[in-house]
Amino acid sequence: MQNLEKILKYVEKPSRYTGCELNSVVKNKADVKLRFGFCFPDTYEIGMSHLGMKVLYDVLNKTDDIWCERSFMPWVDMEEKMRENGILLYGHESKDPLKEFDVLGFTLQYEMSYTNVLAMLDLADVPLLSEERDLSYPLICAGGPCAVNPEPMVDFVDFFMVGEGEEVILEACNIIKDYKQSGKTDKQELLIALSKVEGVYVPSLYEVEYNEDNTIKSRKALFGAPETVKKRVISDMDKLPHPEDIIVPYTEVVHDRVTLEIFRGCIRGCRFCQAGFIYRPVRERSPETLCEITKRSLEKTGYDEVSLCSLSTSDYTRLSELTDELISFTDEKMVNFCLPSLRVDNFDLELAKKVQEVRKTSLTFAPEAGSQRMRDVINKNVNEEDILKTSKLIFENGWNRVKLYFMIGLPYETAEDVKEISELAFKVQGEYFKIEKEKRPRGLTVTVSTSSFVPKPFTPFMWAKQDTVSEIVEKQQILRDNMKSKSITYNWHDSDLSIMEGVFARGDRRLSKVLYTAYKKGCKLDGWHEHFKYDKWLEAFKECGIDYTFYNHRERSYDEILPWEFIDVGVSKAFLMRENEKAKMAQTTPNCREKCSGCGITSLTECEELRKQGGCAK
Amino acid sequence: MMNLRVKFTKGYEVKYVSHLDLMRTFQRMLKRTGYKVKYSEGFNPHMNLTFALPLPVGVTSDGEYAEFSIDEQISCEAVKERINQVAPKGIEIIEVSEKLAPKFKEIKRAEYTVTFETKNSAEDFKKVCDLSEILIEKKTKKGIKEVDIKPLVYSCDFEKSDDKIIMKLTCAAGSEENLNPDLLVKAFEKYIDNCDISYYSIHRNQLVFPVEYEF
Ligand code: SF4
Repeated sequence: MQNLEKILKYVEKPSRYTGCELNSVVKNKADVKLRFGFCFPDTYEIGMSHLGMKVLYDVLNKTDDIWCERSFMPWVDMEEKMRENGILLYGHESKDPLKEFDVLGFTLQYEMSYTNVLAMLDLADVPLLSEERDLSYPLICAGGPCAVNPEPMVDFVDFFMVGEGEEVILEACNIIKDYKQSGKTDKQELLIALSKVEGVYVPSLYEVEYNEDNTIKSRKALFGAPETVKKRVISDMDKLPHPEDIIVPYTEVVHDRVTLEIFRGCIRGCRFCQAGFIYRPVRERSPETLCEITKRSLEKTGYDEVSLCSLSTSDYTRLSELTDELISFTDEKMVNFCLPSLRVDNFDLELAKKVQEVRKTSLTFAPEAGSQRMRDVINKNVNEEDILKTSKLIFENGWNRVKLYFMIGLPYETAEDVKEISELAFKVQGEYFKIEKEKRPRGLTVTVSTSSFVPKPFTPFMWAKQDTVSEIVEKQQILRDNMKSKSITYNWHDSDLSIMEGVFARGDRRLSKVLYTAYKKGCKLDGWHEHFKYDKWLEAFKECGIDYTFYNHRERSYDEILPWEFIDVGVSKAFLMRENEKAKMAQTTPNCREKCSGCGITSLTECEELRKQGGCAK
Repeated sequence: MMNLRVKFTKGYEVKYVSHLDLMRTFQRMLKRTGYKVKYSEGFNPHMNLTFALPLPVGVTSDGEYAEFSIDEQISCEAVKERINQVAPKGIEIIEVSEKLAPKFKEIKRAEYTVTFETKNSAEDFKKVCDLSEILIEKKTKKGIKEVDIKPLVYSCDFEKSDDKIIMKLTCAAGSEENLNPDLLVKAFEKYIDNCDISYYSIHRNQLVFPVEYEF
């Protein structure tokens, strides 16, 4: 146990470094056989808001001989004090250095946290490069959505877990535990054993060759490692435990409440959305189970807020049943109930009223694109009529603030499409003014936000060229010029960050070198605007002799071998190609509940939506 | 309805929890008891919970007070037991009482124990306390201001134990006049030549009511 006392006085918000929170798990070191450090490569406030971490913490700690602790990226002032005082990055529960653990697991939620992984290893005094670590160091593993293209991180991570982690993490830990107990110390032998577990990817067991034009020529699996790595899926959601006695932080975190995962997957198939493809198929928990979970969670935490969390919450088949049941006891317990976002096409006024009763704040809608043509290209099945009808409805019912989210830089987008974003904002404003003065709330604000689109692996747009900074700036300018109104506010972001995100999202293993170089140049906390150093990143690419535009500013051909192709997320390449071709013609695809489009997921697991349509589930 | 006053500790596990965070922690703890705790009326109801005095971040304590009401008719002892069952590490209810007088605003002083790891002697510290004026810069809402904290220090005694110096301090505490012992430590650092305090910790022993408060 390290003595943190002397430095905590001098840092901001010290209680995020002290552990000891309610429901954090402390075990006796001597009683456990494997110590796991769950590392979230961002700050405590962000990490502690993340449901996935709570789920795996729970799963691991329910196993008697495993002790899972948490660790986060310290903020800059804390990092400085730690370095000054020789304090190594530690597990929050024991305060022991992570270096003494058996396994450190990083969750890769967004590409721009990659340098934080390096920073955390460094602060833990663990060598960054996998090849420099023998078994006297912890094994480093990683999972999370970015693990569907793990290649840019291969130099640092010993093994990845692809897909849903609840089962595979235990299987991997058991293999490691047994191997270590046997007294053997051959890291490669252990990694080969791990590579046999479905969903595990050991990058050092593969060789990649390149063509002269820098594209991939071939991939070779060594030591009997599998040619393709299949993602893990858990088929029966009701059997899957949902954490209940979750840790209650002292200091305020981003989502400080009971979060209910009501289902996994999404029926929609919006073509820009990676989550919509990699988390297929849709699996719902029953309202009965969810209510039980909520009750017990509230009892064990004392939280005064519950929120539903899923990709498209309003698609939950028994939503009104669930919300009625939840509200029936949350109200009485003085607990708030909130929904993250509502759809415009199946907007439910009664529901909006129910959940917004306590605080009538703004309503948020995400049409994603301004023109109908573009919405068809991205398969966002929302039409202008829905948006305007819903706007009218909410204005008539007392809301005066609407937030509209859009993306710019989408494939096949023209200046005209972009302009239509502003036109839509004016039409929404128009709906408000159509209502008689006495019948509408005062002081309308329409907030329009745009983000720059980043093409991601395993989406129909994975072959697409990403817009350059200057193309994005031009599009933002169109909107700035066209959205001059007292009641409309336009928010946009610098696109430098999206450029780097795009490079690493679709990068190959040669980018590990760039990450290493950028980290050494001081890049970390890149997701935090004030710490993102675009110039350092460009320098790092230059020094490594890598042209980043190769990764994001060119269109790939269908027959190019993509860096992530050896991973099987269940959705077939043929399906993604079909979807991309339809996108080019602005043709939409029905959602999974209307009609199955044969995405291929049934090669991995059953699909309930398909079964309901009388199709063969597997 | 029971109107309750509780006396509780803030241990080292939670010493860095800020006043606002401690309020929230306390509310959640009360919610976990399952008792019907009284809420304010109105559009945005919140739990009626009052603390006697904020405790500065980084300070531990054996004598903090809070008041709230619950819709139950049970013994104070039972309430104490129930809360302690659901309390986080570092927070322990020592006493529960239905006696709400004297009021929190009657508290005028507090007793602290400050432990120094230092190369200086008790005499060095004592000399500072004996000055007729202890001027120190203090951050206020309007900016940095020099204040004399001497009138706020009621008594301080020093004692050496092993390699540590222990100060027993009684000073002003309350909504009108209040001294954060951290300021006095700053004064030591300012007034003692070659001051060498490598570490110090502050503990509040108790808040002092004008008449003895008995549970
Ligand atoms: S199999 Fe059909 S219904 Fe199931 S996820 Fe794929 S497209 Fe949707």
